[in-house]
Amino acid sequence: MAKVRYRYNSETCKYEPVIISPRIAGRRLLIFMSISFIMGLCGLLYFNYNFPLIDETLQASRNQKLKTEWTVLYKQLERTSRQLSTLEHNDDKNYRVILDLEPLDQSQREAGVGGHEKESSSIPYPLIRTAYEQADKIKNRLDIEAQSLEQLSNELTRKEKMWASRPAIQPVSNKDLKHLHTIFGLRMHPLLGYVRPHNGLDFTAPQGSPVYATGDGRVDFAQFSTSYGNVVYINHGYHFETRYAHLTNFIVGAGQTVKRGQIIGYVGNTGLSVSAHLHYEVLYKNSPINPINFFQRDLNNKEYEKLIEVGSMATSSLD
Amino acid sequence: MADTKFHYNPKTLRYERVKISIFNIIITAVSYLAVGCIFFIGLVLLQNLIIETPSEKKLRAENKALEHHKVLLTSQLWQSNQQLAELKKQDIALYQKLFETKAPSESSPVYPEREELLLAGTSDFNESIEQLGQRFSELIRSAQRSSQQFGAGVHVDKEDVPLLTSIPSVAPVENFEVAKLVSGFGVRINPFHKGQYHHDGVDIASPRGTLVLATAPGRVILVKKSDLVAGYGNYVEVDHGNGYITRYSHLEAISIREGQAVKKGQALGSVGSSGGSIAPHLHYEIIYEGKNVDPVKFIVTGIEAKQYEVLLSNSKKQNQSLD
Repeated sequence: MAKVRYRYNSETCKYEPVIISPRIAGRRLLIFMSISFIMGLCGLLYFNYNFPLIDETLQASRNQKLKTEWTVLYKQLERTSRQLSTLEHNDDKNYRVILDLEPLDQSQREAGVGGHEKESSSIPYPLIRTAYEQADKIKNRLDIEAQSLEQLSNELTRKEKMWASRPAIQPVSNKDLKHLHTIFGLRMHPLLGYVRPHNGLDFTAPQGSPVYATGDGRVDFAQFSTSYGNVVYINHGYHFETRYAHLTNFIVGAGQTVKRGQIIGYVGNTGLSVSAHLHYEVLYKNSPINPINFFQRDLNNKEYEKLIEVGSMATSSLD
Repeated sequence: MADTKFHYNPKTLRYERVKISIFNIIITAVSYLAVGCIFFIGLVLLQNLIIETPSEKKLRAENKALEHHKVLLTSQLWQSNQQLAELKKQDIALYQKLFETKAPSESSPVYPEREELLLAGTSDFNESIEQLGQRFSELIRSAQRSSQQFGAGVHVDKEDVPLLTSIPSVAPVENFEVAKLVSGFGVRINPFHKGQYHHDGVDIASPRGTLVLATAPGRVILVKKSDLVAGYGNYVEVDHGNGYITRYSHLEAISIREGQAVKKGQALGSVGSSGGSIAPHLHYEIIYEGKNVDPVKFIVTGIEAKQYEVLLSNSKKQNQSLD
């Protein structure tokens, strides 16, 4: 219980208890509140004068943090761009060189950038606008690189087909081969007895040894002829044709597609021939060329050159 | 004093003057301050709620834009990165098809940017530290290797100088880069029949028309031109003396004559795809005392140690040659 307070009344000469009426209490409270309020207000004024507004501070620090995050975003953009550059460099300097295609120049790689008005260009903050520009540029370059890679891939597929079509192996396996007559050019014909061009190479092998297509192609002709005997012509496209003569029999028909290494017939002695052998011709743009240049089995380039020279010397051959 | 207050002390049975103690004063002051503080806080909050200064407004708008576009851009970048990853796969597939061998893996792992480290959590940070540590030990190792390779003392006698100058020690094309050496010396895959054969030189892929350079002083002993779509095509041989002969094949054009003396670095012709070749490139051979030797062991001048290591490892890949 609060102590009762008294006041000395000089008129009555008595101590009288102090009665605090609600009005007085209210007034006191009001005074107390006012003074406190004024103090608070002073504090506020002082604070405003000396420090920025709290909200502003908060926003400013948020701004700072966001800007750091944006710096990171920029770095990420840069990294993506750098990795893309590596791809583009590979594309231009390696693939396009090897596939014999013109490298894309810078203007082609950056085509389409800045053409149409983008909504991002109306953003009033250069930080954001520039990032969009960079991101859009990357997007464009990616699309162009995607197209380019597709082109390269198509070109490679086309070339692979071309390489696969090229006569590139021996038509008779080394294990069947008894002797390779590397005579190409004019020579005395063993049966006819006069000089006429020998337009191919002779592979001596036992009758019935398999004869392989030397490149991918389509059989143009598979028939018996009096001079060639049973003969197969393969059209390889890209100006190449190969002929396989004096076969015992052939197992492919005209119009059939063949793969390199596929057996097309067997070594024989049909037509103008004195013993079992394969007469093999390679034609480029319809003229016969030395087949020695179109296979390479355990041969290094030096021996290869030697064979070409030997092949050009005219001596006797088998057909 | 009219306002003097008393209170009744039942022990002494007297009215005693109420003393105003320091304690009372402090209590009063603190209560004023406390309520004042409450008012202050209230006023600040009220002010923040009502008043918006122009700079705050600007900041708020900017933050909103930054946040909004960050999300958009991040997702756009994410999509781009996905596409990039897809393209990388295609690139590797193309490489494998082209060279019939595995594409070189990305040798350098991606290191985080400094700014990313600032934002990273502790686990990311530790990981980065670990990566940096690995990178550091890698560098140490490579430095040790280099010093082993190149640190050995070299002594050259005066009589050896002509021998040294006759060694074909530079790259045989202009603007040579290690990445251009696409197929090395040794057993390789033939691009036409895909079988293995011995590749007697190195293939340096270069755009058509790139100059082919003599790798040491010497005399041109052979110039051969051929329309045949097989073999060396147009090629040149240069004799450097002391048993060294170099051969440059699949040329497009030849700019020297047989018997002509050439200086080191002199143009012999230009890169092409003549003969049995699937791509514009120079097929370069070094023949020492009648035997083909690995030219990579000779291309040492003008190449940094690190690049040379790349060259060496490139040349050892058992890939497809350009023939």
